[in-house]
Amino acid sequence: MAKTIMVVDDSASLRQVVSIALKGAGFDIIEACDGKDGLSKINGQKIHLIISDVNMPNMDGITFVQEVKKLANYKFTPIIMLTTESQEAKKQAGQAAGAKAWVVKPFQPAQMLAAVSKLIMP
Amino acid sequence: MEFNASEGLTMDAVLGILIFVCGAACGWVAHRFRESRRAAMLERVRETSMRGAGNCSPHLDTVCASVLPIWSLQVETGRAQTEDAVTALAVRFSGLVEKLETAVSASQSTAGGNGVKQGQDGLVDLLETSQQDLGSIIESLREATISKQNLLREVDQLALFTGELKQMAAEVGSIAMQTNLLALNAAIEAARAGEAGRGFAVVADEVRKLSTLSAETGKRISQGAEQVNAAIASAVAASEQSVTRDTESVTHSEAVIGQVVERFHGVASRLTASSSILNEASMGIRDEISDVLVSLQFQDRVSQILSHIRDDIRKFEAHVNECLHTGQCAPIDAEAWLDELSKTYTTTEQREMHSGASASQSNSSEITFF
Repeated sequence: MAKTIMVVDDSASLRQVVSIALKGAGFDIIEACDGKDGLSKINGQKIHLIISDVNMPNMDGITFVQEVKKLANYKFTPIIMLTTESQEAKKQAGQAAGAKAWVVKPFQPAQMLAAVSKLIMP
Repeated sequence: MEFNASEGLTMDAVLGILIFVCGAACGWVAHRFRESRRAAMLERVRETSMRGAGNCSPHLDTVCASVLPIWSLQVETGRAQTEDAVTALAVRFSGLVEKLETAVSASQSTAGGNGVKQGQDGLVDLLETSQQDLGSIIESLREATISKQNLLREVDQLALFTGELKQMAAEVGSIAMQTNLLALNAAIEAARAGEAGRGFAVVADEVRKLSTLSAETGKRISQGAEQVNAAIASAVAASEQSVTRDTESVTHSEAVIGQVVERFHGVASRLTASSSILNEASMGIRDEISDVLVSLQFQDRVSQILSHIRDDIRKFEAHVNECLHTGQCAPIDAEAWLDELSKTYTTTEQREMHSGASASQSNSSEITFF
């Protein structure tokens, strides 16, 4: 059975790009347009990994990760931050929130797949 | 020339220090250059701001109040249109990728065989299985022919038995003839004995009749054996013709099957070859797709940069409107404004441009695991 990955990004084109890169490797994708939308869609879903942007309207990525980690069922769900931000302070904030990896856009599909495979078996 | 290891190490160390010092010096010079450009830019902004504060032109304020919303709207429209177009492009691209994957997968599954992903129901596999099945049918037919030949040899052996039977019939005939002679002699001797031999003459006559019957039986056995022999010979001849026809038929069938399989092999080989070409082409397309996916992500960066410009224009517009409504134009702290603007940046190139350096474009992703 295919594993499910949630992609949270306010850019629809970026969500599509991530979907193309991961669907080809056999993953199912759930899309959310910001942290708030992600939290509303996460409940009840079996999600194996989350890929989230940092700068988003309504709820930013760091807050979203903090909120996800408060949910008992998703406490150990690995999260990859996918962002244009490469500042060390931002990375540390992501790590403190509970993210497992930090990927700076633009990403190479093969590298993203390698990162995903490292955190969950495909 | 002797090589002194300690000298070599010293030279390496000196060279290393020189490279380090040069690198540090270059870095320092570049930093100073960026700092001086940033300072110059700030100075220009400050001068412009001061001139504006000194001569708060109502005309300029009106122009700004009119133009800034249009700029803001146009930047936003450009950003939104690019976003919509790139999203639509990505959706259509996703569809193309799926169709390509389906086509390649179907081709590989149909062709099967060497060089491509093995499909259990592939043409090459089907052909190999069919060839094995047809081969086993030919083998069965050949075994049936051999079995028929063995049966023919057994029937041929029966002809020998009928020969023996004919010999035995001849012997029966000979014995009957001798018995007949004996009975004749006995009748002569009985007649010579007169009245006393009358009873013996009756016995001798009966014996002669029996010998005659025996001779006829022997003759019938001989005729019967000859008929059986002829029937066997006829059956053997017919069977030999049948075996010959069967053998020819098996050989012909084998040749026809071989030709048909060969033709299918030709078709399958061409299919497999075209499937391999398609597979290789799809690998190349996958690489292209990968590059396109990287390029598509730059829209996200552009969108973020334009959003920050739009927000800053709106902020400036709000400031100008306040000037117009209150009639007082408070001086802008350019440095504070720029600092605030820099805090909104989300990309490295924005920060580089802000500090006066030329913006670099990164094509490689940077991954950090925690």
